[in-house]
Amino acid sequence: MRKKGFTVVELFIILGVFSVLISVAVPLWEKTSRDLQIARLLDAAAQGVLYVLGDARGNSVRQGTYVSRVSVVTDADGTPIHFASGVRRDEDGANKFYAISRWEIPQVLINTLYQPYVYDTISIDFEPAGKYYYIFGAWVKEESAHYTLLTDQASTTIRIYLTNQGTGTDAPQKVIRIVDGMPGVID
Amino acid sequence: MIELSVTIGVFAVFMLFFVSVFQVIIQSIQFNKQIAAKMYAETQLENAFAVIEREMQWGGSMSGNLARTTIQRPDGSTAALTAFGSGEFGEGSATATSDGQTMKLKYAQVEKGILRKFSSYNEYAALEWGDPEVGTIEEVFLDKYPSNPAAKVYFSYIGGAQSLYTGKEDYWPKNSAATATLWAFSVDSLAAASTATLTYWEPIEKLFKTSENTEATGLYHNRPELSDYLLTLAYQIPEYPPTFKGIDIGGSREYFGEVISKTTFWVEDGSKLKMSKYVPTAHGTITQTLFEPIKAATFTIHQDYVQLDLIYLIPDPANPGQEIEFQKQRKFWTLGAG
Repeated sequence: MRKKGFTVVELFIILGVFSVLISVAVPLWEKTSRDLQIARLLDAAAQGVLYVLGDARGNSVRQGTYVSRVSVVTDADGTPIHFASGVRRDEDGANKFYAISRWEIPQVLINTLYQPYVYDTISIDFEPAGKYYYIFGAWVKEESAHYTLLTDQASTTIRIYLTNQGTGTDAPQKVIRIVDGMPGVID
Repeated sequence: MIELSVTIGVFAVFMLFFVSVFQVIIQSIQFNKQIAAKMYAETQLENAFAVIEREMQWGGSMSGNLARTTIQRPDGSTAALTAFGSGEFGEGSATATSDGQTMKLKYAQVEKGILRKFSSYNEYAALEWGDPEVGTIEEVFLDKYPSNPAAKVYFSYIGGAQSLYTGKEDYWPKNSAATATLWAFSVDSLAAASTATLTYWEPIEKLFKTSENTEATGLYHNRPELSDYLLTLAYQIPEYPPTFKGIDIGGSREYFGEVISKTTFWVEDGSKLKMSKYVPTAHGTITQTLFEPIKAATFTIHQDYVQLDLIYLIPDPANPGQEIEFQKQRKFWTLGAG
């Protein structure tokens, strides 16, 4: 009489197939989840930077301001703490930067399956590096003795990325380019 | 056979579930991208609207006067300030549009925030451009503009490598600061084809340089020696008259200390919302892109407000190369000066 049910071999085959599927799915799931987290963090960062850039442009056509510098503000240790727009003023012979609007650069936390969490920081780089301003709504770069108007494609790239996730163009990042005064997310 | 069918069935259900989960994830990623793109666009749009609103809030300021404004020159002659006349705007109107694709706005406002008179200029020695003769700034300008009886120059802080200040009297770089670049108006700075005077001041060397060119000057220049920004917009109401007699408003009085602007918003190539600001007292125009990409935009002028209808575009993550349209409408109040 033939017994009903699965044989051990069949059971192992099924378990093997399931194991293979799970071993493929879990890392993919983790990568997808991690990518989504990073994408959300970078989206939020880009949104914060856009807000500051927009406010700087708005203030630069406002009576009494006209000039807004945008800058990454660091603490005494050089750690970035704000992306800010504001004015620079002379006080007692020293230049001081006063923020009018700012976005606080957060410490970010990435959860994964294998590691409970990973701390990272958001880096914001101007390319080319330099000091940038809105003057009457126009985007300019400070040169050695004057300001250069940046129009059309001769503009500035602001690269936003997670510091510990790589800095190359393949690393996860958001890129903002300012063309004719308007900042736009291009990547 | 039954076992095989059951196994295949279970496996098929599992695969269906597996594929569905990934489909949901992919759709979620695409939707996230779409939401992010829409948020970026909305942020930029609100910023653009804020810029328009800030301009519009001045609309109507001295609107009627601007339509009748003439320029008075030192010799007593007058000229029309045509960019603001009734021919373009209609007397009493602050806004104008011909086809809904362009909307112009004019206004004048008292400006004191950035205008400063270099009241202690006589304290500084001066050196004329290319001339080793040293004199005071006043002497240099008297030499440069012998027909100018006052020979007083009014300018605001302009900026320099290490100096960028706004809003206070202490604009002038200290001796430790780098070169500051200053601007002074020429006699005909309000005329359409004006000459202008760009000045440089080096506080460390107490050097004051003056150069002239016959080109129409604006807020920025391409020539290296003129590549600095002009922040001066108008004249402070002075103890001393400026180099041109002033603006006659309403045929009665001379008036100084106004910023006069003509701002134009327009749709360029059907894809960009742009803005330019013409400042006749500086004879300069700045232009910027307020928002792109758009599909269409229309300005409609009403009595109390200007309405902007706009269709903007964001990329469609699910269909590369295609775009998703969103409509936006905003009213900008002009407080009866439309």
